[in-house]
Amino acid sequence: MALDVGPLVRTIRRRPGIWALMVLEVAVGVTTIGSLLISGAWYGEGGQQPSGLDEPNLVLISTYTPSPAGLDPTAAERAVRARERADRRIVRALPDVEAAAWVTSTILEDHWTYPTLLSVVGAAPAAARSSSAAAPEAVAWLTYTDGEVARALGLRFLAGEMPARAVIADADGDPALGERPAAAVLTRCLAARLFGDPRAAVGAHLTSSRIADVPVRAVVEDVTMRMALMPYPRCTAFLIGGAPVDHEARMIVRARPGRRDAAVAAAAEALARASAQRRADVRAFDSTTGAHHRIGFGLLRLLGFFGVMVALIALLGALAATSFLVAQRTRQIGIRRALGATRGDIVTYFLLESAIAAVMGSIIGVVATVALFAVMRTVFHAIRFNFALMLLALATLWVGTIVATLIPALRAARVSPSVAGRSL
Amino acid sequence: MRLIPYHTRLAWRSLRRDPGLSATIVIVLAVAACIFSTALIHYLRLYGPRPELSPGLHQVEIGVDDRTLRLAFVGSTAAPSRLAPHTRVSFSNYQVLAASGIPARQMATFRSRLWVASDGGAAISTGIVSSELACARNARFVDAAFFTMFSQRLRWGSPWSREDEVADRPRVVLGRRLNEDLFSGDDSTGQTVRIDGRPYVVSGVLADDAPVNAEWDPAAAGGGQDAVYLPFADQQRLQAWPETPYYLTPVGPHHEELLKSDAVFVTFWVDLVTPEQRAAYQRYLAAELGRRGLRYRLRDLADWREMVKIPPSVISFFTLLTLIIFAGSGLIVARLLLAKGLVRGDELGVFRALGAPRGALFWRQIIEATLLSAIAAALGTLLAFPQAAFYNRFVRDNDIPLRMSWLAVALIFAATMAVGIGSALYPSWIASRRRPTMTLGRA
Repeated sequence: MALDVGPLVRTIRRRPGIWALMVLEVAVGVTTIGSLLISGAWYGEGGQQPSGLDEPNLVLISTYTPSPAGLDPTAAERAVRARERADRRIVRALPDVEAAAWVTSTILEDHWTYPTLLSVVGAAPAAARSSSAAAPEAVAWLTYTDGEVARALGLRFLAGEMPARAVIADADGDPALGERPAAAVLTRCLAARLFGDPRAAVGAHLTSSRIADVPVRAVVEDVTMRMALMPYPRCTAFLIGGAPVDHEARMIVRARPGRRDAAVAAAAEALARASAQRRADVRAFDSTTGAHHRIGFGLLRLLGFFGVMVALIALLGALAATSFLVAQRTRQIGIRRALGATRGDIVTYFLLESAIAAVMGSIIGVVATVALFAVMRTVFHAIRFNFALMLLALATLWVGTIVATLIPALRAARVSPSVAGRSL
Repeated sequence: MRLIPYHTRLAWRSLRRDPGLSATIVIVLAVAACIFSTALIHYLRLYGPRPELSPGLHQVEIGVDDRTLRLAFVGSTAAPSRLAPHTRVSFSNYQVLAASGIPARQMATFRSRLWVASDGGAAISTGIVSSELACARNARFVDAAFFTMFSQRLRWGSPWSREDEVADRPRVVLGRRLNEDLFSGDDSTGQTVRIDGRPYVVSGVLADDAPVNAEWDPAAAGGGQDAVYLPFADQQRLQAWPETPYYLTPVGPHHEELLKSDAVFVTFWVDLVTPEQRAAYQRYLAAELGRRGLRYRLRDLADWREMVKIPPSVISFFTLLTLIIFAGSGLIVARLLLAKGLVRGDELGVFRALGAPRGALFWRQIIEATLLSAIAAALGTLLAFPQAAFYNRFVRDNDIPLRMSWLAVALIFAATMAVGIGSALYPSWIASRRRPTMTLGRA
């Protein structure tokens, strides 16, 4: 069927303002829905980023040990550390516990800390020197821990191994009491950023404004130890020993398979019995209770709601405007029907008019979204342009435009040719 | 001017003739206003107007190498640094700065996390604290001058006095939120709370939630509000480890080592109200810091505010995006009004033929849009309240709730009116250009 575009062109030329507004509406719709979807996906990914830990068997114990009154600072610190060390022994002795590691941070942590800039000391291993991808320094999150960290977290080694206990223990035999970190274990993410090839990290020495010359003993698969909406949440250096003496302490406990609930109950009871002076909070480790999860999914829902609202008001507005315009063109439609146009021709005519506006608006909208994405990249860490979501935004607007046109167009197609005569 | 009631009556009649179209315009504008309000309240919470403070407030900035933070959070070290570590000094430098005896007032502060509980030692029954450790809360160490220097209103009681500090009496000021959690928001002055297991008597309760971007310590921005305010000297007794020390060289694990180190974590403010005080303090700094070869700068409040201006964030982006949505709603309204003008073309032509000037038709359309915009603005503002409640319940990025302020209400209302009236300009102009001959010819 040959398509007569003459009436279409005449309509556009006769009402350029209304047509331009329609194009701009689609463009703004594509831009805003596309941007909402892309930013919502960023929050969604952050919210559901897996910790990489064997969570069903893990328990998190948080303790707070007050400084004893009446002691000098050194004696008070020693008392705090002694209490924490005793707590670890109590937990490790429980029958349902396989391992317990002392850690200074987890993915659940929702208060502020600063990352550290780690540098490689002296000459890196040969593999690192030959790798063009190797970087001399990288932003990292430090987690102070002890020698049981690998067993407790279930870390999977890519290279190297946990240092022998003799290397990391201090005079008291407790690695957490060491004056300075004895060794570092890097996640794959951090090792790759520092050395290119993660295996090249083993044997190198690291330094920063926080630590002085710590040997890297191993590289492990990535685990997320920091809130997932922060930069580089998987770039962690586990430092064995040397943690600051703080009132707060955390233990990650690996329960025997299927015995997590029993381990939680037993640990809570044993810690409460051991001391009433310090607070202890024992719970199953569940990264979905973290702030990153709540914020990520909360914002995903909110942005999704905004997207739906934008689509609905665009649909509502287009429907109302098209209905008015169709009503206004009743006489014109009647004349065309009297001159032999079929109902299908009338519907096609209106759909084509909207389709041209939708295509032009989509082109402008995609260009505007790309421009807006440049702004997004400056404020969202490592955000990606998601083409599938962009297509979803386009599809939403196109379907909306077609629906908003089709309903009045079908009504217009029912206009009798006699309307033309009545109007003359 | 005297025709305004007449035009308003006609405009109202016109709106009632097309209730569906009028309702559509109101809904479109109100929904866009509601979406915009969420971003706007956020924006005002972070970038909103700052309180009036003494122009004599000054801070000494001692150069800090913050490459780590610039790489992590800015992505580059090329830009000049404006990050928060520049607003902090080490404990040893704080002691030097505080020993001058020159300022009218001075105040040091940092934040830690301490176990806070009711007198019986019961944990606080609220879901707002850290998901990790249900008993540790943000505790801020401050000098008593803090409350007046930063215009912190107390709802009940007063800060601790100099006599309290000298006599070493344990006194605490509670944040508004903690007072709600522990004492249901009632007057708790004279009551006892346990901090780090020790009894502290409540001397005052703050009237308001803390701002997200507290000027007294911008490094803590975004990290939740302070639950308690304790005398600065107590930090040593409690061996309170600062929340975010920024290390310049490696420091051992002990609290004493931290205090002796060059790690920056203390924010120190002085109030230099006379030129003589400023000159004297400059001389003091030159003698104490310049002699040691330290790079330093005494910044007044205006200069300081410019230096720590908050860079664009996701909040800025969402404010921009929701403004675009608002503009889009204006396009929809413009097209609806244009379509309505086309349908009413004959009627407008008759008006023109009967002698109505173009200006009258133009203003009648504008009044019509103003009426619709006012209804939409009221509805959009009302919808903003449950929207903020939704955010506080399901997103809750920190424990400082989103609240509608009078400024936010005024801005939402003004923006809705501006978009509504702005979108009516083109359709009204088109409508007013209707030629009477066209209508008469067709008739």
